Parts: sequence; structure tokens; C-alpha cells
Amino acid sequence: MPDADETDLPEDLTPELLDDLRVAFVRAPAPDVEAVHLAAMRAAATSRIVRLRRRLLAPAIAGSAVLFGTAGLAAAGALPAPAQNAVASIVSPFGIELPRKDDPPPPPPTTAAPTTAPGATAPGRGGENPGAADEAPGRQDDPGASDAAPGLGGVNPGIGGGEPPGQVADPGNSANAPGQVGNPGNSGNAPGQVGSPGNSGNAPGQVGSPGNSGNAGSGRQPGQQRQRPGHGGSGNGNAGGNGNGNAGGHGNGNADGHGSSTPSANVRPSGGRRWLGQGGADE
Amino acid sequence: MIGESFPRVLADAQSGDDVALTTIYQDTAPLVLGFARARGAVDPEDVTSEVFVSVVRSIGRFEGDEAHFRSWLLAIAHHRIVDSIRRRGRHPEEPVPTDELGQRMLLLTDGESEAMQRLRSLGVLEAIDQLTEDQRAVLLLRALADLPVRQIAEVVGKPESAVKALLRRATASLRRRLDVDRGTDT
Repeated sequence: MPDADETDLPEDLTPELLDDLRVAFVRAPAPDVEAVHLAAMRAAATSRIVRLRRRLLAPAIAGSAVLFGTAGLAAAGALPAPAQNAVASIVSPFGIELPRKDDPPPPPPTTAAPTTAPGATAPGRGGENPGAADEAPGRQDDPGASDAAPGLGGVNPGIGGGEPPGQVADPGNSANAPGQVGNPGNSGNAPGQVGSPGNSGNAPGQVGSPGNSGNAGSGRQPGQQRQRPGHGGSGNGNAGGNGNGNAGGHGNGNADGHGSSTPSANVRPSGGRRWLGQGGADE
Repeated sequence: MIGESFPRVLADAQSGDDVALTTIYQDTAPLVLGFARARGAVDPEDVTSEVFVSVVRSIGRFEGDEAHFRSWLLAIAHHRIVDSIRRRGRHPEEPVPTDELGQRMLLLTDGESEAMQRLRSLGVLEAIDQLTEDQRAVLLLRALADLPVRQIAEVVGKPESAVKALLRRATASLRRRLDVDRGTDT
């Protein structure tokens, strides 16, 4: 009820008139109108319930999808390590064992493994494509252009390289097949890499590259080598190509006997320009 | 008034119970319809239907007792009536012509009752028609729904001080009008 001080309606509006106002205006709607109103209310209530159900179902469906998806990934061990371990920890009390990712990851593979196992350089591979050599032995490099024989330093290459004297003294002949003697340098180069002694002269870790060391000498067709037996200058190729190969895989080339018979003289890859025999002489 | 059972009825209505909704409708629809009629809504029945559909849609969020529920219901009705009047293209502060209100009442009442005759004879209806929309709203909420100023303020969305000022101006205008009518009659 309104407070007494608020009932400041006009005195003319007596309680009787107020009652008349209420009676005149506040009346129940007609039955047909009421039926229409109630039908509209029922329809609104139905749609409201449907909306409520949808509002409740949508999160439930989304939650179920996330749950099952996570469970599937966890079972497959495909979750990230923290999540995988967390899920595994959660379900482990229930007797469910899921793969964990606690194990440390395997060490990364070493790219420059210094393993210079002789087998790493497949000697035979060099001979796989002997005819692929696209350069004549003598065309490889300019032997005389090199300033110094690698590892020779003006010393007898054979001595400086610590190789058997017999090989050093006659690098062209030493350890080389008779017909290949003239191209010791070529043997140090891959056929396609002849012009790049550095390639053949791989770092020790790269000696394993069969193509490089293996191609040493073998990249030369026998016939080609024979064609220029006297071109000891081909030894330049060895100077570079086999230079590094000596460290590890150079012996492989030697195993083939493909002219990489000057191991010590091939110490320096860039020295491929130098002919072994000339290296010492020049210096 | 529903009385003591209102909380249970409200809870049932909030859960979509048809009986509870019908109970609430039958208890409050006359007030809503009468308020719409007295305010001069173009189609009071249509406005009433819209009001109760809105109630059903938002009753789940209502919290309070029966008095607050009536205020909440009348607030919805007030906004619907204002929208109806605006749709009619009439300025909200412009009073409804007396002839129109009298004509509507004749159509709605299906014959003049004694109360209507007394109101007419005393010039009450005409005096109410001369009020502005806001004055008429607060006066009818006070006279028909018997709401205190605080709840009237909640219904119309105005401060209590503004509602009191509207009530004073409405009362003064109504008194003047009734005096004039009486003087004319006499």
C-alpha cells in the first residue's frame, strides 16, 4: 500500500471513484482473447525450453568432443609431452597406462662424424663409373700453377707425407696400377669433380663420401689413363682430391689402387693444382 | 493476488509449467489489459499478448516476491504501451483525445457500466485524457495498480523525485479539470 504521505491524489478522486476506475478499466479479457494469449504463452514457453536445451547441449557436446579427442590423442601418444604426461598421470590411478614422454630424446646425429673407417669410402664405388670421368687426366689442373705441394713444403713429397719412400719417389708409379700411374692426381678426384680438388679432398669426416675418395683414380677410365701415362701432372688432382682423404678415407682410394697412391702428398685439398713430383721440385 | 503460493507458482512457471503460467496470467492479465486500455494503447489485447509472451521468455531470470513481480510485469507493459503509442505516430506527451478514449471504452466495455457512467458524469475520463503520457502513466499506476512511488519509479524508469513531481502535476491538472467540469455543469 502507498504511504500516507504519498496518497496525494485529488480529493475529488474518492475511494469510490478509484474503485470505479479499477472496475471500468481492470477487467478480465474476453475468453477468446484469453485463449489466444495463453496459446501464445505456451508457444513462447516451448521455444524457451528448446533454447535452454540447446544452450545446455551445445557445451556438453563440445566438451565431449574435446574429451574424446584428447583421450584418443593421449592413447596414441600424440599429445605434446607435458599434456601427454599430465593425462597419463591422471588416468594412471585408474589402471590405465598411457605412454609417457619422460624419456629424453635421442641425441641428434653427428653430421661430421670423424669416423674414417676404411670402409666408409667405398673403393669399389669409384670404379663403378670409371668411364664417367669427363676430363682427361692432364686437363685437370695446371700442375705447375700451384705454388706448393700440399704438405710437401718444398720437401720431398714422399718424405713429407711420410709415405714409403718408394712411393714418394715415384709418385706416378707408386701404388698405382701400371696403366694408371700417370694419373695419380686424377684418382683423387671424382670424375665430375675433377676440376675441384677441394671436393675430392674432403675433410676427414667427409672422406666417407664414397664418390669422392672412391672415385679417386677410379673415375678415370683406364684407357684414358693410359693415354696419358706420362702426364704425371695428373697428380695434381690427387694433391687436392686426396689430400683430405688421407686423413681418413684416403686409404680407400688406395685400396682400389686408383692412383691415390700419394696419400701424404695429398694433404692439402687446394694443392690439387700441384703435381706431386713437381711440388717438391718446385719448392 | 496469488498470495502465499506465489513462490511455488513462480517456480513452476519458471520451469515452463502450463498451469502456473495460466495462474499468473489470469491473476495479472486484467491489470495489464486495463493499464493498456487506460493508457490509450491502440490495441490493448495485442499489447497484453506481447507483454505475457515477454514475461514467459524472461521469467526464468526473475527473482523477487509477488509485489516485485507485479512491478516487473507493469514495467514490461509500460514499455510495450509506449512502443504502441509511438508506432501510432503520436507524440508521447500528446494527450489522447477524449472522444477516442470514450469510444474505445465503449467498444471494450460492451456497454457502459455504472462505474463508467459515474466517471463520465464526473468528467474523470476527460480529465485523465488531458494529462500527458507520463502524468497519465504514473497516475494510473497509482490509481489502478495501487503502487507506491518507489515501485512506480521502477516501472517507468524514472527517479522517485521525478515520479513525485509527475504525480503532483497530474493531480493538480486533474483537480483543475474536475473543477472546471463541475463549474461548467453547475
